[in-house]
Amino acid sequence: MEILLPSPISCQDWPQQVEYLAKEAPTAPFDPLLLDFVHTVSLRIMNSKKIRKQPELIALAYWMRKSHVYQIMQEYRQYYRHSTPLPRGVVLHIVPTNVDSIFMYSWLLALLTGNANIVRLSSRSQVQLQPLLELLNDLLLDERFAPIRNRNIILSYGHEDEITKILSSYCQVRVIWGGDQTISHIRSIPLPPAAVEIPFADKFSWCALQAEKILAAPADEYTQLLEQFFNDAFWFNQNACSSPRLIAWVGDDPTIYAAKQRFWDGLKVIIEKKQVMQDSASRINRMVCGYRLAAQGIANSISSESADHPYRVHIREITPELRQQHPGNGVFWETEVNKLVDLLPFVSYRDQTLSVYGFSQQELCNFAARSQGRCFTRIVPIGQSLTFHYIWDGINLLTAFSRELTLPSIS
Amino acid sequence: MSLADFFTENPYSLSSQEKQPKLLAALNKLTEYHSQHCPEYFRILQALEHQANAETISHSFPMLPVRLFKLLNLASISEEHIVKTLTSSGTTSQAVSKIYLDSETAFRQTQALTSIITSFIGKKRLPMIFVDNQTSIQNRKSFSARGAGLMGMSLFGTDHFFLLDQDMNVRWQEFFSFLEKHQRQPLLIFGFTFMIWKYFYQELIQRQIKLNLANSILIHSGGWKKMQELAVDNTAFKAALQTETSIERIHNFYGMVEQVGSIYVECECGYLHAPDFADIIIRNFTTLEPNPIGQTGIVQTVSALPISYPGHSLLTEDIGTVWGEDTCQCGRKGKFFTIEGRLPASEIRGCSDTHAFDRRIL
Repeated sequence: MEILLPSPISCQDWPQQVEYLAKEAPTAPFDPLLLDFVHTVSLRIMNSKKIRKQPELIALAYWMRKSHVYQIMQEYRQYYRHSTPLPRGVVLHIVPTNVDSIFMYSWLLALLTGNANIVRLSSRSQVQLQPLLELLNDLLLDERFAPIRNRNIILSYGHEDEITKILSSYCQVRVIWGGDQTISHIRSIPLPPAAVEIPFADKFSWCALQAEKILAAPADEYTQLLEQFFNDAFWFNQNACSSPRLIAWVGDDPTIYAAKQRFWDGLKVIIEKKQVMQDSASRINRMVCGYRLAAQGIANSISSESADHPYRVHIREITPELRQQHPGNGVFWETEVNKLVDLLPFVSYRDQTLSVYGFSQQELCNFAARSQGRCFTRIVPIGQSLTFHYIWDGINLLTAFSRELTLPSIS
Repeated sequence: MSLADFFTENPYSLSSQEKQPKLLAALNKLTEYHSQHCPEYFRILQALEHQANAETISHSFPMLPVRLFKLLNLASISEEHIVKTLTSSGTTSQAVSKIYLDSETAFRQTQALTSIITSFIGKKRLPMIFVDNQTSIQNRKSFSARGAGLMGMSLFGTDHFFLLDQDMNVRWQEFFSFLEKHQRQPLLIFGFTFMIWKYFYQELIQRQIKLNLANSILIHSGGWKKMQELAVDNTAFKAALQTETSIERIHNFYGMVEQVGSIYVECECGYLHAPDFADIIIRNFTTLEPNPIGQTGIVQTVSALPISYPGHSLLTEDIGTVWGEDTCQCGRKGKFFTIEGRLPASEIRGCSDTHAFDRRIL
């Protein structure tokens, strides 16, 4: 067990610190002090040469900028215009290693809504997060941020259920940033009766391309589109739950055929330009995925015998189990439909993000309306698959971290 | 499909010019045969738009990643013709390869193994010691890689003696009486590298026993992963065993359950050798294109043996280097090479459950 924040701690050991944290007087949601803190962290990240090198932390700092946090506050107030929001109390965040930024989004949203926080990082994430944690600790030494220092703790420990059990006993909300097996495991550790749990399970994401629009895209817009698609897919080696894995082409056959040519040829150039790492093991994983699906009769065409980028596997039917066979690391499954709504029968509750190009607002609204509820929880333009929003995976984290006080109208 | 051409007295007799056309013809036939008899294989070729029976050079055959045999049941025979099922030992992953053999394939494997082994040890069957116990060969219908290896090798010895008991302890008393019984005769000793090291060699050291088995032959294979952890390479292994047992003829071999029979035995000069009916192709780490001689890469193995399953061209996850063809100092023809280890697993970043708890991203 290691306490990563605050440093130094105010109490003797972590159990005392956690108990202290739970008892401290809360801060009001979006208190100026909280806004000031978030704003200052954002500025410091932008000015830190060390941290600036990590693109996901730059994206984080941008998300934390003053105007954006102000906008979040406005939306929060708008939502609670007829009632009074209250914090839930203590939020326990169990976060993954590989996206250093996700713990920050989860933590900051709970902080801004007035909660005390316990954040559990895995022991492996520390090295990469060291500069960020140093920055935060340094800032918390400032006496004006004492209320924040006293009500937030970031810890790191191994798979020790006893510790998770103690931490869980203090919380009113437990957020688990998946995957499925972790969620099932943590679920076996009890929560106080009134506490709620927010699990973010394993998810699968698609991309829908309007073939005609791909063909018609002007050169500069088209290059930008490819760059953005590249970022969505390759920024986290296609292993993020929101990275596009299945590409659905929409249009008639000849148009799709021509559009595919244009799109994949263009992407190949970008991939070469960006010098995507080609480690042998992921290449073999791609082959295994394609060959296996072909052997099973699920795929009927594979773009390359030895899994060259971009590795495309044409899928004959989309089954629910299929989603678990995707190895990430640059495998694009492809399918075609006439109209966007033709995809609906294949959408499952496991699907999260649909990134799109070439569809009108009306088409997208119609798609959602006709889904009868079995729909993606995010439909975003290509390039924004990985962009965090406080409504994530269908859950509004601002409200999930809040309770609602109703007041009598006494005249 | 006759292999008569391939099985001669000396399985290392064909020069590149003689071997490549023969092998090419055999592999082309096998690709065609499997595409007609194994629906899964057929569908893979179809998805790749690969024409069977059209290759003019042996490195352009489609190769199946060896892991596919863990994920799928790949057979070119119907169930009633299966005489034996081989499974990989699968110590490091849960899934095991399943290799289905018919009598023809099993026969060819035996023939292949015989021609290779006898070329090293001679035709006379020698009293034989297994550095193993008897439990791994008890089921005769289904074999682990370990059991298959033991069964295969048992053909080349007589009066088989299992050195270890069920708890992996040396049966010292029985061992010494066996040695006494076969005094002054060369013995054939076979076992898995790591087991020989741990249960035999280290016991000898601990008990300060030195054996004089100067005329005997030791053949060993597999388990290199654990040897790598112990930082004992092939040369060190050989030297250590020679010191304790005086065995001069120690031969490692490289082989896999997915291509039983076509094994690659280490020669007197320390190189593994491809027999006439099989070959090694080293592929570039990044592009998977064939590498020139002397350049390390990923190992592809091709073999003319497998009829009952589509395993004639496999992409392994092993790393190796071909050092030459037909020119080894030992006089054997064919490619000679070394194996350097295994590919590191790809780093998975993402929501995969295999790295539960610690690894999940948006």
